Amino acid sequence: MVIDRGVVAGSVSSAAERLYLEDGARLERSILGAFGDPEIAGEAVAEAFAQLLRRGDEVRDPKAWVWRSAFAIARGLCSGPVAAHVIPDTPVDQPQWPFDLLAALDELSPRQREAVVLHHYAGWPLRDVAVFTGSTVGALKVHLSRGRRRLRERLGEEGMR
Amino acid sequence: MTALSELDNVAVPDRWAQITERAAQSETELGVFEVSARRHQWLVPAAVAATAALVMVGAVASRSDRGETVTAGTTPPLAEAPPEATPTASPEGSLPLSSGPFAVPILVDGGIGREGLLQWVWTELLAWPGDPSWEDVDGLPRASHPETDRSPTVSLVPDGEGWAIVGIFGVSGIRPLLDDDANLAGFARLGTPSSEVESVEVLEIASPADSRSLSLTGWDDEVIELATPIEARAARSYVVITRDQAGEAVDINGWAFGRPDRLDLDLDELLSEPGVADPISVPLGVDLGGRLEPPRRLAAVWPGVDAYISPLEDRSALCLSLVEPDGSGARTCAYASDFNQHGIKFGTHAEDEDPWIVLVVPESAQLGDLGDATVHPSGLVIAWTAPGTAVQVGDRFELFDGVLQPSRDEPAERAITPPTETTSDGTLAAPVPSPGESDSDLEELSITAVDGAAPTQLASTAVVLEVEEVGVVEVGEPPASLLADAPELQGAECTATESGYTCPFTRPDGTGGSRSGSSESGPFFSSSRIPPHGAYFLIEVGRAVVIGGIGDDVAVVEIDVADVIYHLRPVAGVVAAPLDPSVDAITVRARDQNGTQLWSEPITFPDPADQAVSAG
Repeated sequence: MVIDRGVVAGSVSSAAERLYLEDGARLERSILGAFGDPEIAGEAVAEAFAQLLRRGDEVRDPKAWVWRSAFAIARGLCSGPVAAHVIPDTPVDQPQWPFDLLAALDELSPRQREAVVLHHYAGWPLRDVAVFTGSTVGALKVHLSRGRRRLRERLGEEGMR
Repeated sequence: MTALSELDNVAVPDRWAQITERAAQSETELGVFEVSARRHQWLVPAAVAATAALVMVGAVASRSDRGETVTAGTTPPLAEAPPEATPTASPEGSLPLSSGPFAVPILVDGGIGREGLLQWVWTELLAWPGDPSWEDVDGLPRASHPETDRSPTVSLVPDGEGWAIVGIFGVSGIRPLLDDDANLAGFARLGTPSSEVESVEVLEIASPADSRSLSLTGWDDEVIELATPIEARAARSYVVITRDQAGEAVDINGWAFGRPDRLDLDLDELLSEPGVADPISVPLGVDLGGRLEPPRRLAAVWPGVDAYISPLEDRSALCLSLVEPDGSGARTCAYASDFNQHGIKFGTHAEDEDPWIVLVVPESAQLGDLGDATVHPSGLVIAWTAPGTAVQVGDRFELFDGVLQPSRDEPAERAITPPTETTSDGTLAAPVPSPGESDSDLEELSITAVDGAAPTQLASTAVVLEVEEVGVVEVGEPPASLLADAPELQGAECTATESGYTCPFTRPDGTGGSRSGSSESGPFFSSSRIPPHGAYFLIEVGRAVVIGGIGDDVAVVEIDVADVIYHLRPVAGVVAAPLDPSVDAITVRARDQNGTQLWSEPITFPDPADQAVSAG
C-alpha cells in the first residue's frame, strides 16, 4: 500500500515525507474512490501534503490532518456542476482500472460515497470519518447503511470487501 | 467480483517532488500578509463561530460563471484548520443576472429563446447529432442523448428579455492564460484531456450569429496557446472545443472573458474604514499597476477579533484574515474563479463548529440575490454596505423562506447568540434558541412542502416525512458485550429499535440466521438514541439527517443544504404523514405562541432516491 520509491531507511527527509510514503497512495486511491476523478485525487493529495509541509510543526496530528485536508480540497475541486457526475476517461497506463467499482460508487450520494470509502476502504473509525467529512457519527451511520445497501445491490455481497 | 479493494489496483505516481515544489512556491506566494497560527482551529471564539454567519457587503469585480471552481482548491489558510477548497456561493440559474460590469453574458439568444439557444449549442456549436433532452441539474440545463455519452451542462440565466449562456462545462475545464498586458494568450487545460482528442478549436462568440475561430500556435495536454493574444472584450465569450479524428466534438468548455483570472481590485475603493458605511464604488477593471495594498481592516465582526482583507501577492486571490487579541490568527482566500454574480464567499469549518461565512457581494446585488446564501438562520450581520441598499453597518438579517430579509427588531450591535451545544454523535441535544427568542417561545413546528412556486403547508400536526420503516433508530455493528455472547455476529449489521434489536448474520457454511433481543436494558448503541416517548424533531441541515415524529415513528431524510446543525427540543403535536414523492423541498418553520415566525428553513432533497425514509 505504500509508495515504492526504492527508498532506503534514512533517506527520508522528513516526517511528512514518511507519512506520504506510508499513506499517500492509499489517500489518493481513497479520494479516487470517493470522488471518481484521478486528476482531482492527485491534485488534492499534492495540495494537502504541500500545505502540511508549509505548516511544519503546527500540525499536531499530521496523518489525520492531511486526510481531512485532502478530502476537503477534493470536495471543493468536485464542486463544479459536471465533475461530480462524470466518470473520467481511463488513464492509459491503468490496465486494471476499476470501472465497475467507480461506476457503482458514482451512484451513491456524495456523502455516502465519502463515508463508505473512508470507513470501509481506508479503514478510518467512524469518529474520524465524521471529523473528515464534517458530519456526525449518527449521520454517518445512516450514510453508511444506505451506501452499503446500494453497493450491494449493484456489486453483490462482495462489493464491500 | 468487484470490491472496494480493487482500488488497490490503481497505480499511483510518486508526487513527492511535486509536493515539495508546491510547498516552496506557496511560501513565496503567501508573503503578503502573515498571521501566526498558534491554534488548532480557526481563531474565531468557538461560541461565536458556532453561530456566526456574516455577510460583508462590499464591491467586487466578479463575473457570472459557475464552472471554473476547480482552482479553488489551493486555499491557503494559515491555521491548522483544513483548507476549505470552495468557498463559493451557490449560483442559481433562476436568479436574475445582476446588472453591472461583471454581468456580461457569454451568449445572448438573439431572440431564439431558451430552447433555441440550447438547441444551438448542441447542433451548431457542438455539431452533435440528434435532438437531445435537457434536464435541470442543480438548476442548470444539462443535455443528454442516447447517441452520445457527452453531457454538457450549460449555465443559463435570464438576461433582460432573453437568455444568456454564461458557461458551458464539459468533462475537463479551461482557465484563461493572460499575458503581461492582460490579453488573452490562451487557456490552461484542467482535468483529464481525452486521449481521443485530435484537434482543438477556440471560438470567440458574441452571439449565435456572430462568432469566429481563433488561430492557435499549438496545444498540448496542459496549454492551448493563441497565435496572437487578443484583448479582453466585453460581451465576448470563448469556447474551447476539442474534437476527435472524425472531427466530432468530444469536449467543450466556455469562459466569459470578463471574469478575471487575476483580481483587479482596488482595496482602497473596495473597503472603507472600519465602521464607515459610505457607499463603495465598484472597482472592476481598476489596474493596480503592481501596487500592493496593505491589509485593510474591516469593521469588527466579532468581539475582540479583527478582520482584514488583502490580496495575494500575485493578485490571484482575495484573502480574509482574522486576528485575535493575542495576535494569533488565520486566513482563508478566495480566488478569482470563486467569484460569481453573488460575489465571493469565504467560509471555513472548524472541527466541532458550525461554519461561518463571509460574503463580499457585488455593488449591484440586491438583498434578494443573496437569498440562496446558505447561511446560518440564527441571523446575518451585514458588516459592510453596498450602494443601492438601505443596509447599514451592523444591520442584521435573517433568512425567511430562503430569502434574506431584515431582521424584525434586532439591534444592530446585537451579539450573535451561539446555539446550544451540539453533540458530535447526532444525539438530540438541548434546544436551539431561535434568533432573539427564548427557546421556550417555540410553540409550533410546522412543515411546508414546496411544490413548484406555491408553498403548501401540509399540516402543522404532521411530520411530512414518509416512514418507510418505523422504529428503527440505529444501524451498526453489534456491541462488544453482545459479541462476547454471540461470536457468530462478528461483522453483522444490526438494527436497533426502541423495543429491541435484530442482527442478521451469515455462518461460515453460508447459512444465515438472526439474533434478536430487547433493548430494555438500555441503549443498544452508545450514540444517537432517539427519546422513546414524546414527539421530537431533529434537524441536521447539511449533515444529512432530518428526523421527526412521535414515539416510534421515526423519519430520516437525507438532505444537503448547508453545513449547519439545528437541534430542536421535542415539540408536541407533530405526528407522521406521508410526503408526496414529487416534493423536492420542504420548509420548516418555528412559531411562537403568538404565531410569529421565529425562523424558517427551506430544505431541499437533491437526491430523490434518498428521500425515502431510512429504514436503517
